Amino acid sequence: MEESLIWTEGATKIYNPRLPDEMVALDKASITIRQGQVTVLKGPSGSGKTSLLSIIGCMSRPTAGRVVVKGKDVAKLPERFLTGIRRNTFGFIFQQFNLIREVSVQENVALPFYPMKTGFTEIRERVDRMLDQFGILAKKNLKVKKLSGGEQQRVAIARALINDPEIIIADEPTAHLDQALAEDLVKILDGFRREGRTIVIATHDPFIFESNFVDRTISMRNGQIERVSER
Amino acid sequence: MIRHLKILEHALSTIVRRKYKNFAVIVVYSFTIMVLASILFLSHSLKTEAANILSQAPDLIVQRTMAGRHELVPENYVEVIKGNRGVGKITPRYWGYYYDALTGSNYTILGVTGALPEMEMVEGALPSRSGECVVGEGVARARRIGVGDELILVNSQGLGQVFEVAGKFTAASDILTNDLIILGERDVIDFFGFPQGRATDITVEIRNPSEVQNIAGRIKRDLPDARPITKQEIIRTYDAVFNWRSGMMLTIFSAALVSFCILAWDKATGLSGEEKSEIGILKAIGWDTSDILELKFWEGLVISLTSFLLGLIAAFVHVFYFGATILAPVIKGWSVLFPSFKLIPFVNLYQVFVIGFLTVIPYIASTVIPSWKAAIADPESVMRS
Amino acid sequence: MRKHLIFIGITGLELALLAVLFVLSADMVRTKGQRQMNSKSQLVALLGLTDLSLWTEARYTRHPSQADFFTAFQDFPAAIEHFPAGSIVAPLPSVVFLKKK
Repeated sequence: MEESLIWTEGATKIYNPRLPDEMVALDKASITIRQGQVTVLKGPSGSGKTSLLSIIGCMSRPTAGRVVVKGKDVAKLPERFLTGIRRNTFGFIFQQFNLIREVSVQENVALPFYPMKTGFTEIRERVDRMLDQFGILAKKNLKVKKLSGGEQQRVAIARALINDPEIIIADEPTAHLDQALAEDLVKILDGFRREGRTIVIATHDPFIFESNFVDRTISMRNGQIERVSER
Repeated sequence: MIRHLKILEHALSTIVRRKYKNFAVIVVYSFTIMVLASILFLSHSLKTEAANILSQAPDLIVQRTMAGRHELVPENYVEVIKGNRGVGKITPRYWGYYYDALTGSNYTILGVTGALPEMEMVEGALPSRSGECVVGEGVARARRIGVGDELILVNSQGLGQVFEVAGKFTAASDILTNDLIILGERDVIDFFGFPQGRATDITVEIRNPSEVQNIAGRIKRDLPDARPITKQEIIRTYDAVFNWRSGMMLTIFSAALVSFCILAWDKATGLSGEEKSEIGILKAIGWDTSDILELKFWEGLVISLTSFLLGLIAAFVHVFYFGATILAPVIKGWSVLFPSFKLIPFVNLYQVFVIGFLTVIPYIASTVIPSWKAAIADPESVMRS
Repeated sequence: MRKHLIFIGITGLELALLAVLFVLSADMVRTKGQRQMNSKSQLVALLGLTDLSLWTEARYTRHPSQADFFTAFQDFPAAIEHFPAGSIVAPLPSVVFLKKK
């Protein structure tokens, strides 16, 4: 177990508890994410992938159960600490890109740095380097809404990586991409894996979970873990 | 420090994004502050000036009332007042109002007697003999006359009477003299047809200022139909110009109305679904609740501070360099003659800070508070859109 | 990423402008203001003036400090009973505060 970076035990997420529209999104899920591996959460929509992902990523807290990230039980930590963990440990790639569309590419990528102590010059340098790496440096002053879908995807990835995160969390990253862009993305993700980063992807796209850079696949159904298969 | 600057940077990006809306808010907001500050500057300056110059007004004025109205004072009241100890010079005054049908304006006609020393604020001379007059700037303008011209007024007999304009009050004094016509005392008596032995009122000089109230009381006892008005009362009258109960209320109400419109608009369009999801995004990428609130604080501060400063500058220039041209028609009321405000720029910094607090702080609060709920929520909602 | 500098610059400029205006006004009060006040005071003293010549539409607005208790019902030719100026300047203190005595 020493190589497990994140593990959950009986993690449960219930929305609107004790109300008529109570919904159990996640039901006693116990999983392990190992360092340096690519783990895929697989399952139809509504199977609890996103809930599990947001709990792992410290975006929300489980209603019950334990979630341990890098040896710390985050289920009971106050908001402030969760923010710190999100900021320093995770990079998020969202299904909808979640960029601020009316703001420049440069600022979007720089935003994770804003609440930190990094100076403007250093931010600018790091952002430029990151944009260069993804081939969108020339567009850094454009507003995000002026970019194509593929470019937006790259901006979103650049933003996720700007803090040099250990763990990358991706939620349905290929949902809005065509085949060529999806292949691109897999290449990029594979690159991260080689850099030694841990990657967790929630998807129902076979193109991802069948590609050979995936180390473990966790199948989910109705909020429960169905099966864990290792390559 | 650098952290705050960066959050300010993003706040500015957010403002620039909605530039038309925010520009409109700044314009309306600045205008509101300009009106409010103009009123305060104007009234403070006016009050200060009034308090200063009216401190030279007569110590005591004795009127007579009859059936609740002003009535001419018998000159023999002078003898009765003289009986009080501590009383200095007592002078019956002859003055009145004149409605000029030609221009639709009202003048104040005041009689002077004896040789008056030369006055700095009079061009030409004071009336030295019968048939001469000195007119205020407003009168001169209304009648299109100057020094050396003739002023024709209709007396109580309905006859036109010609006065030679011997002098004119300078424009700098028009806050005091705009509608004045100064005639010799005898001319005033004849012009209005005062009954024999009656004056308009009586001014009383009192040697010891602390005795004024006592002497006023004694005069009231000796002459039950007299109404003494002290200098203190005169000064205090102008203390209440534009106070919260009088015109101020009206203007504050209109200002409040405008600010309310801004706020309502801002609130209604304020925390849209888009803004909520942005807060979620920022939280997801590592912003803390306090960072989000700081962002909103900066957004409110940038708008309100900019508007406040612009409004203040505009008010200052408007009141002290342009003579309150926007405000004047409102204050003017039905007056046909109205002095131009060449105000001495007395400024009360305390007032400036009060306007600042009453406008900037509520605006910031109204931008920060609505985002509170979105800021404390878990950011996972962004994953579920 | 220079917007914050622009904002700080503009705000600084506005503050400086205000400071200049205030300093100028203080200076004006001291010099020109003082001189004008002296000559206006002279005018008041010599002519025995009691009021500012602001509103000429009615007796109680032209000479608020001399107004009697019933002046709101005026005799200005074609008088409109209540003048806007009457809402800006309050009645004589002795009228308003009569009850306190």
